[in-house]
Amino acid sequence: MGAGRTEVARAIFGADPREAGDISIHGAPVDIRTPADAVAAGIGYLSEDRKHFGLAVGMDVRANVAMASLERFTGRLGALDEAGMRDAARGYIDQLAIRTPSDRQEVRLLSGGNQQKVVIAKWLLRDCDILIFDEPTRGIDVGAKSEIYKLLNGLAAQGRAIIVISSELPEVLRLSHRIAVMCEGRLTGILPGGAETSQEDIMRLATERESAMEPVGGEQ
Amino acid sequence: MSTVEATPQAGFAARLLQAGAHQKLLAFMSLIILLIGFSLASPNFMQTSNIIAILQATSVNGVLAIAATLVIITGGIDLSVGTLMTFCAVIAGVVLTYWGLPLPFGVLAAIGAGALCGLTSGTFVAKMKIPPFIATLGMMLMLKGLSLVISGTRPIYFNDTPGFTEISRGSLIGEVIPALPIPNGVLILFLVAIAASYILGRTVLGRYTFALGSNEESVRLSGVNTDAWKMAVYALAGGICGIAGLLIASRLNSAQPALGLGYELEAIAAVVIGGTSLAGGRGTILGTLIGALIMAVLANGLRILSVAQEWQTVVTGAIIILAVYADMMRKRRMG
Repeated sequence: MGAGRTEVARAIFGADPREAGDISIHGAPVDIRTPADAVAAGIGYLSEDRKHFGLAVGMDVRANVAMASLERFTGRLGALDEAGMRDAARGYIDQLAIRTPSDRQEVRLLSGGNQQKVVIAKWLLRDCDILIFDEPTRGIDVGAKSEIYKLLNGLAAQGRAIIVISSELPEVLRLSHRIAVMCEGRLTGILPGGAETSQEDIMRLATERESAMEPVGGEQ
Repeated sequence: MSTVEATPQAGFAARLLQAGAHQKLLAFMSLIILLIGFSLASPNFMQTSNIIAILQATSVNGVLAIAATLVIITGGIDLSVGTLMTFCAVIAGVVLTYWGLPLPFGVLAAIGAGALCGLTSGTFVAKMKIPPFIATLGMMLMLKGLSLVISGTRPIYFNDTPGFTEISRGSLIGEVIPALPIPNGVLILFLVAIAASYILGRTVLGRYTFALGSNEESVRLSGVNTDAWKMAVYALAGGICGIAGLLIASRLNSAQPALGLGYELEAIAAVVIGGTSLAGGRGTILGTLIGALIMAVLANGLRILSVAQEWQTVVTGAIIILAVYADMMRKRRMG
């Protein structure tokens, strides 16, 4: 909280202007100024605030799943391929077990976990190589949580880079190959995931305040 | 922002207002009731000539209202549709009467000028982040002034362009089916409505129009160039205003540079009565068409019943309040 994790994610994604730093993918520098640039570079961002930054809740599941991939369904004179979007949406409803009466259901009528799955489906359809999940399990019930963990592991196994932002340390330890810890807007350390790292190791880095390290500075 | 569903104990009227479809139905029923009421009140109302007069009166406001609908669905508003219509009429006058070019050039110039002005409004809104109300208010005044400047504050007549009045007053349908002398202006209104419906419902531009009004930020974060699409919607709306400019110039056989102010409110009223949400994200062209018809029927019927013009205005105002209240009730139910 307040460590600047979301800010970094949004800056990488081009959602907010970057003040400093460079972005490279597979060692090659990329110029990302807008979310459109980021998506073109294969990055998808799933905000913790799905209703404001992830979905058009007044629109149906089909429209939301297709939202980042409309050019793929656009034919001559801008005509949309409804059948194609329907099939894609239904495919993800099955694959991700999204509980909805149909692909025409308005997203606002779905539960939090199912709304999250719609956002995931949107980025899967877009076939992003890098996915940034900001607090993916916040406000989601336990059952849907473990489904989302399974999904994240599956995506990583496919060779995608998954960045998970989370405050839940067990979640962090369970999911990660590498753990980057931030405190007060700075990266304070990178730890290996799994059994080599304990919650205490993370907490130490997460509370490594600048003022504690440099008592002379006294900046407030 | 709760996801609480509509309360089940909502009354019948509230349930009627819940969905956009129902609001449209409500508008449609109101139109039918008005038609029946005026028919019973006056034998002169349901005459073919009067019905055609109503349709003809709907055509300009209807086309403008369709333009306004597109912008309103994005969550914006366009106050410049009326004076843009006049500006386009003046441009047609310059091209056809001052320059003496053939008719197709005037048509293209009017629609092109409309699209360009719409694109300008869209740039103010999308790129410069000026609130749509202010941006289009500024455009409204600039265009009103420009129309007067370009025309030298005098009407431009189209007497040298044979066939210009046919755009609105002629009847292609009447030539084929003499029993159905529907003026071209009305035909054009329906063609514009069909095209706009198609764009909204079946094309990528329409999809983004709704999406922008539904949640612009989440669309932007889906990697969509929202600014460009928003500008495209304003440009399309502007082009449609150009068509309205041709219609009104054709009907008056002149471009009247002082005209136009007030038309934007009539158009927005038709949009609102037709059930399009001013909050954006929801709306239909059919609803707007019904809204424009309601206003024309009301004006015509009250005139036939010899109700003073002043009272017609009062009634129109009251209907707008009712329609917006219905819209708010619906949103409250939807949570």
